[in-house]
Amino acid sequence: MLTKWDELKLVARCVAGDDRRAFERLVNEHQQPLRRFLLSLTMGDATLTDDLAQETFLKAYMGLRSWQGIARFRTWLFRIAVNEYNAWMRRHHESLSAEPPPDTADTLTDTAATTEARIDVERCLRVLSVSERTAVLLFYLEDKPLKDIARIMDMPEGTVKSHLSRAKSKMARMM
Amino acid sequence: MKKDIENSNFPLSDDELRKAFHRGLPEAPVTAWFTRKVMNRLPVRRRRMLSLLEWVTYGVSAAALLVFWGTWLGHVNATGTITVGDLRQLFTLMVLSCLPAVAYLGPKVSAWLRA
Repeated sequence: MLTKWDELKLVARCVAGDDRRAFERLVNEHQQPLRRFLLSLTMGDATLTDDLAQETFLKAYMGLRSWQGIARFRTWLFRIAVNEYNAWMRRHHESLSAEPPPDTADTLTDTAATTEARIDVERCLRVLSVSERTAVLLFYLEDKPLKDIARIMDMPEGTVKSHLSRAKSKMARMM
Repeated sequence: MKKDIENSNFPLSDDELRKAFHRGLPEAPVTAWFTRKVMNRLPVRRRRMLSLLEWVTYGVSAAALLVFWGTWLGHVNATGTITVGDLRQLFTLMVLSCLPAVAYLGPKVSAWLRA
């Protein structure tokens, strides 16, 4: 796990000397949480997840100079990812289908219990709006504090809290 | 411990919900091919802004060295003798001639060694 100081050093190496190895390290470090988050956000669409994650890292690379180092690098990366997903949603106006995409299974090694748990959680996520789902995943899956979620979603903390509370009401009905 | 998001209707606490999410949502393990794909999609390595300045400096240094070498050789030819002072100047010129070469080749050799 990289410290903030490590991140600053790696980003400085990328910006000053276009050091690809430093960027590769950042990709390796952050790909797992980012792809897990996107995989849940896209309701298990592995292909879309990888496309969005790649775009996120490319955008991050292009905009490394704009990272001010106030927030953690991962928070900044998640913000780009959320923007990418929202942009994709706007482009495609996709209404999410009730059936899980076929390539979801290859990311998992399911036991019966985890399958059941997954179906429950996925069913809950399906009833949420994109903003609610984003807030819920960042809060419950990524364990992000409200301050970071507000930064990632570019909205006040109070709005994030409302999203989470509304999401819980909807999920309670599902349960 | 984080404070629960307020919602009295919900049957689970935030911690239980967090566990359910971790247990119930798919993992995305680290894969080398993903990193490779990202790295392959990065734009072609841009020329550094410093590059122009670097080349101008090399050019000026090379020109200055040529002038100094020419002056030194002219002086030695004209006098027909080599004094201790001339030898000192020769040594200084040789060191100065090596510096730009080291500055130019150093980063290339180090990059080659790292690759």
